[in-house]
Amino acid sequence: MAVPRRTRLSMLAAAASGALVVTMAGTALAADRPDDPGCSEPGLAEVRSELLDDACAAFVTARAVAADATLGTTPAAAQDDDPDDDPDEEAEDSGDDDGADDDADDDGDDDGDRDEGDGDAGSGGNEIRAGGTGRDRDCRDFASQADAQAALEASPGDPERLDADDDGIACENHFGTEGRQVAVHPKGGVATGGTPRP
Amino acid sequence: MTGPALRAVLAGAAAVLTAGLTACGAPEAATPAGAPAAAPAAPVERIPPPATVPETTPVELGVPSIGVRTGPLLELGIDAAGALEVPPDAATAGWFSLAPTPGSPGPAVIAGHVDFEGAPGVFQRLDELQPGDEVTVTRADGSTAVFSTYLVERYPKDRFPTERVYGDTSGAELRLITCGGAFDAGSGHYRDNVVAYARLVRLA
Repeated sequence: MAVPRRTRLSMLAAAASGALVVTMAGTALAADRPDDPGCSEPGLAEVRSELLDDACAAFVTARAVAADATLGTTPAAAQDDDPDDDPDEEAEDSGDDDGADDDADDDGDDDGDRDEGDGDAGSGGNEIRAGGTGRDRDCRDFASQADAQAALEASPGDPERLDADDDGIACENHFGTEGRQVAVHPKGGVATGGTPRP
Repeated sequence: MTGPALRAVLAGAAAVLTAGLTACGAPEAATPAGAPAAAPAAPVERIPPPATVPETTPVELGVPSIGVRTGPLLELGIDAAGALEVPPDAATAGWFSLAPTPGSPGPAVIAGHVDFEGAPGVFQRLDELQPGDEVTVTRADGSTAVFSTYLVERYPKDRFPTERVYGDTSGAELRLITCGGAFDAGSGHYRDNVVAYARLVRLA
């Protein structure tokens, strides 16, 4: 218990600083603080475990990636401004963002009517959108309901508004399958043998 | 002074530990941008369990004449190409959750492998099923839907009769689907599908 006052103050400052940094970054991941010492605070050395090491390393990496990607803007704005973003990256971003909310903020209702309708109205077929795969396809852009269903299931939150009535089935009005006993007819044969598909 | 100060240090350290685990873990779990794209999930792994299980949800399948007695059935949806998902192993069968549950009006669909990576599949002998053979499906409410087979057919996969298999029916029916025919070593798949058709006889 006979800890010199100077050491105690140092430890207090280090612990407080670490808590502040982690808390701030946790609630605002995009905060850009490149000079932040992060997990290498000397005061943490006495209390952190291997688990904390791993968690902090992952956090620092994630924060660096987020700060680099956003460049001081929101993730959604960054995507909108850069249509050449890698589609896979955008799809992953949709997992972090709430794609449905983004869409609703843009023109969710209008788009929903268009997608679940006959597909003749609307003109924004391939515009770049926040979240999802970066595309905003309409029902008429799909060859079959199974294709639309696959797209719906691939994008949590339905950012393309393929299921405006939110029943889990994509484009049933457009393809005229509303009321069928089997909601979606899978395409082609079934791969129930041999080796798994790549 | 020493005691409170030390407690404060420990409290601060605990706060760091807790916040670190919370804030550091979440972004990694959510796969941050820039990380390599995750491999497609196994067919059934991305289907979350239902919050509440409907009473008629199928649980197990039995086909005594060909020695089939399954464990719990998986839920199958459609894959990224719009095709029916398949179970991730040889022994497990799955039911297509966008179709009616077995015993409800319409064609329920259960799929299983004839073999899988060299291991015999749960539907290895499906093509031996005969008209009149009994098929039973136990359901979440403990009831059993008993079906009678009326047809077993084989189709080339590229001419799969979608409407015949998945189209509306006048009553409760069941489709059992697996692979068959010649094996294409180039693709690693069979060229045909075997489909058994059955009608509901009774609910017990």
